[in-house]
Amino acid sequence: MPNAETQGLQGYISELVAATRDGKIAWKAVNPTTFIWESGQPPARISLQRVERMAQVAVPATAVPGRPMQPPRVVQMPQASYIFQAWDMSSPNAAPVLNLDSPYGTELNQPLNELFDLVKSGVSQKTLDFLKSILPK
Amino acid sequence: MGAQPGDVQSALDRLSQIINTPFWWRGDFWIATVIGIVGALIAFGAWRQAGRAEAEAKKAKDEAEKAKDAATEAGKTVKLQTVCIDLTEIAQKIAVIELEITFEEAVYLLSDTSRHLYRVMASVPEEDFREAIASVKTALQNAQTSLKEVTPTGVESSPSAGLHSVYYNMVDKFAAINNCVSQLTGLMESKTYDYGRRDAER
Repeated sequence: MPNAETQGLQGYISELVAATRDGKIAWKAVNPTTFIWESGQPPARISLQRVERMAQVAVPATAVPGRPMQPPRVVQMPQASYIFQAWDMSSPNAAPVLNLDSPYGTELNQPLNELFDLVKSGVSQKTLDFLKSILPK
Repeated sequence: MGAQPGDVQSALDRLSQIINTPFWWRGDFWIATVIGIVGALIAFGAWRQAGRAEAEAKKAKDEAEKAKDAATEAGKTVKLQTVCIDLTEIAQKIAVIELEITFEEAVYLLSDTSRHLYRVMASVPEEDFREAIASVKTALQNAQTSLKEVTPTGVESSPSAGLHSVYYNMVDKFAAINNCVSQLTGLMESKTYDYGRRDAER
């Protein structure tokens, strides 16, 4: 059962997803797995990073023709975790006001996964648009 | 001058006496027999002596081979102990990564760790530690792949930015390398114990 803080963050991430989809947020790639958005007023910064970590994944029973039925089992597999951080840049020593580590299987992992994919494809599209714009007409 | 019939008879009697005397009554028979027996005894003694000498030589050869094997195993033990010390030093280096680690520092740390590990692993008999060595190599490759994922684009790479993206991406990978190195070290320590016990049994 998600608590109030998690529910609040889920709502905030949904708003971020919507604003990103509408092109209202200019995300920048710091590296291939980390994106930041720096808002003008009030000065703040949001970062989102995807990290591959080994996680225990439940595999359902599988049937392969000609072989005995594989029972349900738990295996170690690399899965995406997300680091979501927010800074209040108005103070001289800007410190993160939020530092959220969302491993695979937690409630915020899926919404952050959606946001990350959206941001990544948006940045890739922007790069592609630029590359197309410099082609001789 | 012709022989008298009495003389002939006497000679015949003597000859008959000689013929009828058993040969074991004759001294030359016993001399030859004694010489033969003594010769046979000497030959038998010499044969036994040679057999004993051969057994002693074989035993000495076995002992020498055992000593050689023991020396080889002792050499292996010392070598493994040295490798264990090297591996422990490498593991300590990557045990704690700074939160502020930069991409350049991570590249240096990983390449230095990788170089040291490959050098150390090349000096141990791979057949004894095949799986553990393969795990270390896989962990190193995973870390290399992860490092590429945080290659700065140039937008912002200053550590003062406080993103710590390199730390978050690499901390698990260095931990995985550390775990694999610790496992390899443990296996080598147990092998060292085995070699030592085998030496003691000899």
